[in-house]
Amino acid sequence: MLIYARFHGRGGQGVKTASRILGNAAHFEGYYTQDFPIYGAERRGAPVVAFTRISDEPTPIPERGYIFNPNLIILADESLLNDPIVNPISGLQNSGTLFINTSKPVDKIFINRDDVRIVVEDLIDLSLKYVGKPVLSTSLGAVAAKLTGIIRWVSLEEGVKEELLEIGIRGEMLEKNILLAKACFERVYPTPLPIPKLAEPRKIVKINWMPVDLTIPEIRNVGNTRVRKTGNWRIFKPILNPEKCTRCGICVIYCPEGVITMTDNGLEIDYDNCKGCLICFNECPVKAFNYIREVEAA
Amino acid sequence: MMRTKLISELKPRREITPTIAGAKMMTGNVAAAWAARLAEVDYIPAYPITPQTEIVETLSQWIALGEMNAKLTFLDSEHSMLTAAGTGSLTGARVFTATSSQGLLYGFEMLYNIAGWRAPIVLVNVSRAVAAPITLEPDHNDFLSTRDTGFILLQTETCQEVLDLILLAYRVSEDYRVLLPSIVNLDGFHLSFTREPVKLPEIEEVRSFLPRYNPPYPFRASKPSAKGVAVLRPPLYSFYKYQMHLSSLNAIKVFKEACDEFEAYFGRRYDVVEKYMVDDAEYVIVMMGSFTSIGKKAVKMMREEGLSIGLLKLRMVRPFPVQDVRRALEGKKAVAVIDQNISPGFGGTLYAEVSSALYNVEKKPKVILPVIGGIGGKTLSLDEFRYIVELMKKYQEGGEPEPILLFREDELREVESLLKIGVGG
Amino acid sequence: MSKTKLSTIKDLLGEDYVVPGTPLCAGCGALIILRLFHKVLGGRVVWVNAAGCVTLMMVYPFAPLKSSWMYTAMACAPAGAQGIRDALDILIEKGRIPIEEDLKVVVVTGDGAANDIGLQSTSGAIHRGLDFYYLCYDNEAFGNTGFQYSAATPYGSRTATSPPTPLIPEGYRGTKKDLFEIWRAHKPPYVATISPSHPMDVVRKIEKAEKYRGPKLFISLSPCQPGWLIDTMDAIKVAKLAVETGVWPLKEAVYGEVRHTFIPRRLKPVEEYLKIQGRFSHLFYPVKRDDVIAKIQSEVEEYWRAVYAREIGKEDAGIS
Repeated sequence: MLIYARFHGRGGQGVKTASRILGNAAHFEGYYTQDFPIYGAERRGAPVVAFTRISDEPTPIPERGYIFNPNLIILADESLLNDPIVNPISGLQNSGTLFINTSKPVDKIFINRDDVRIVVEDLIDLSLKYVGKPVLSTSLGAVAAKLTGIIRWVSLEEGVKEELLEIGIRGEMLEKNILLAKACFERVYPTPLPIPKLAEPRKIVKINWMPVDLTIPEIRNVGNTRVRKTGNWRIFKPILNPEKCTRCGICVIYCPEGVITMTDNGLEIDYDNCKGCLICFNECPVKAFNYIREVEAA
Repeated sequence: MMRTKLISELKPRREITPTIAGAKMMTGNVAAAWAARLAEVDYIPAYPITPQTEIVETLSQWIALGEMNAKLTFLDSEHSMLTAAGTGSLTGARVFTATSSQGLLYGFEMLYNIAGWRAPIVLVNVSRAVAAPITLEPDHNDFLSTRDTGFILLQTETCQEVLDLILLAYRVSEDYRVLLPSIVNLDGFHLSFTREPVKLPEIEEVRSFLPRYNPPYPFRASKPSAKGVAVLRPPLYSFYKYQMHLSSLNAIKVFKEACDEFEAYFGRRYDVVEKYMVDDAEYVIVMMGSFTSIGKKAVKMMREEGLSIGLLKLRMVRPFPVQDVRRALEGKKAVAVIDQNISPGFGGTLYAEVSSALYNVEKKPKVILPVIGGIGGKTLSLDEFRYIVELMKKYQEGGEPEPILLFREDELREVESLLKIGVGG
Repeated sequence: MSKTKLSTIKDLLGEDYVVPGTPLCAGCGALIILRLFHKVLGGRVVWVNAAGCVTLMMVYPFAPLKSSWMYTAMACAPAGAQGIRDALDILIEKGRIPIEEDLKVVVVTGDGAANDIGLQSTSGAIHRGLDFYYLCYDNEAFGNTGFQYSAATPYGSRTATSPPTPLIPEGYRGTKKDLFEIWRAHKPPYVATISPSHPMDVVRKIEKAEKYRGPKLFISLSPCQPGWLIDTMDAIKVAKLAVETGVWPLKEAVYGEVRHTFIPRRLKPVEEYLKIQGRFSHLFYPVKRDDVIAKIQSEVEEYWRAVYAREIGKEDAGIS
């Protein structure tokens, strides 16, 4: 096995497409390849994950499912970096590569590992420049292909074309994406990735019968979702100007998540869980809300 | 040749046979309704289908007359009926319902749900062969299709057993070591519409044997809970399903305990299997359901002719009583499994289950003969049983048995004449 | 349970029964209506659900609702409601549980379940007079599975299974099933359409419905950000436009008698509603499909002519 690549991002950011662009590129390069996404309950904006396996064996890849020990991680959204639930760098192999899409320089990135290589690039910026929209799928796929160190531009170009045509992107938009892919491909350079290791052996246990209070699949601790901290979905953060607020309550009623509450001291926003839909901003009759681009996860 | 006896030569009976003293003649369907009444069920979601309808008709009448205090609702389909049964149970009601064949299959999705919700309803299935071709006559394909759902599956031979096993089913299903629903099966026509004497237990004794259902976490305003929720973590899903398996296995012990108590209360003895002349037999026929009575008669006659034969009746199908089957059949020369069901391309379902139970047994029978018989309501007679014995003996000498269909020459002639009319030419 | 009438938005700012942290999309219209519905009904509720987006609120071990929840299967939420209602009734009647433990039974499903696969069980429940609420959040497609067209998809919508192509330039060629009329034909005590953009209309309708015993049925427009291809912040804006253009009439029917609760003085052109949604973008780009837009407009006008005639006696009152 050559490459275990794991992509982390949010629903709608194009992580699945990126894993397929890498899959296509490796396929055109002549390697046996496998790619797939994992869909959970989460909807648009929630963290998602996708995978690409690339092998130098001439037979179908004898593996399935989640990649626990990647040698390449592609993180579409820096705000997920230190998210305890997503934990995007878990299992990254010693001397593996971690790519982060961010506007920050690499020395401003802090993780609790010093045995991995970190590569950063502001792909939003590049995408806006080449395509005019913050589309991450092409740029993430291109960066990933380059960082494997085993894929040439011709294969990537073909891979991007095939994938984008399949999802209905044609003509000028396709050309712009190719240019974006080329720019991304030239922007980063690979270092040799470690040969993927098998996971440490784990013990098989016996499952015994347990009493019904534990084994009925039902939730009795209801109303427990604040701990999910869906604030990490947010790209834009609504900011209330209390001076302007008339306490009419419209935003409380229209907020889908219920993160705005009316207190004796005015409105309070639970930023731990605000997903940043900005309906409050849009619907406030006195325009008491503004918003800023989110930089750190809540 | 014996001279044919005349009825007048027989002695007139002077006393009532003790086994029917105090009994009442009733169909299997009415016996099932009586069981629901005696169990004092709270809720009966219903939908009609032949040959089950008499059960819900009987219950409707009793409720309309004020003889029974339960809520009976006719729903729009068996799918809805089973859904309401499950959610009613999760709300804390003791729930009874009944269906058959096509109806069971129409609601099939909900069987897995009810079991997964751990809602201990009792569902009576009146066996009827499955379309196509559509028929009203019985076999066990409908019943056995439910074997992977998580329900406890019980099979009956007599109308008395119908009543008794429904009461036992509530005991087992509602026990927290199990907490899984049950299906009690009775064969259409041969039990559903057949009248036999049935002893009705006293209500006080039933109340004592089967106390009121105490639901673990019913829907209540003061104690909210989210039920039927999605489980997307693969290890957790796997955990819950395996716990259902372990809970199902517990039902063997719980059933046996309940049978001991049942005997103490009502004087009738049950177990997960019933051995008829099995212990000293060299040859054993395995079967279940109402035709077991025919099988027992055939075994008795062949015994009288000197053949070392017995019959093992399966009363519990899920959990499959592996240990009881093993202990009953180990050391036998040959075993024949009569399946009143057919899995096209394989043969019979019970054959696979009995064979797998015996495979790892040290003294396993040399021959396990797969036999398909009695499907679509076709009856069995002594001739078929004699033929099975011939085959068991033949394969003792060697050879690999394949599933065969029990089919008589007179039946083939009947088929040929019908084909001639239907196809023409 | 005595309850004071909710008369203004400020009366709705009290206890919330849907806790933050759901897995639903940012800007989800269904969540807005669900939250509001719950506020008005209070906490003693058991929701009975059929497969749809909202199902995924409840993924073990997380439950954002403080009330009870029962997921059934796609076809049978109303039957699940029947089982709970019947069981509560008989257990209360037998004195086994006190009346204070009673629950309001509320079915919540998407339009996919409501219009087709669940229609039989809904019809059965309404016909039996089951005492329950039904909230259908109508995002006009099978949103949970990726926005394939459903029986509630309107003419001209792009969905994953009705992509506009040179062969079929208008996208979805079918029409939206009239679920309100199907439900109304059963003559239930109460049936209404609602929109999250008009919260006080929702409040007044639930308060009115609460007085009746039997089926109380609501269909809410439910803007769907990923399916309608709108900005997350536009969920309410687009819902308001649906009402103001007449595309989504707000109405109620008591035992079958229809009355509109919001009659636009002048209908806005449907174009305003269509053009801010990506699912209709093929009607504007690369070439504007005036024919398709005109067809949608004329159907809306035809509907409203009858309403204006019946309810204010002047058939072209709000039509330009």
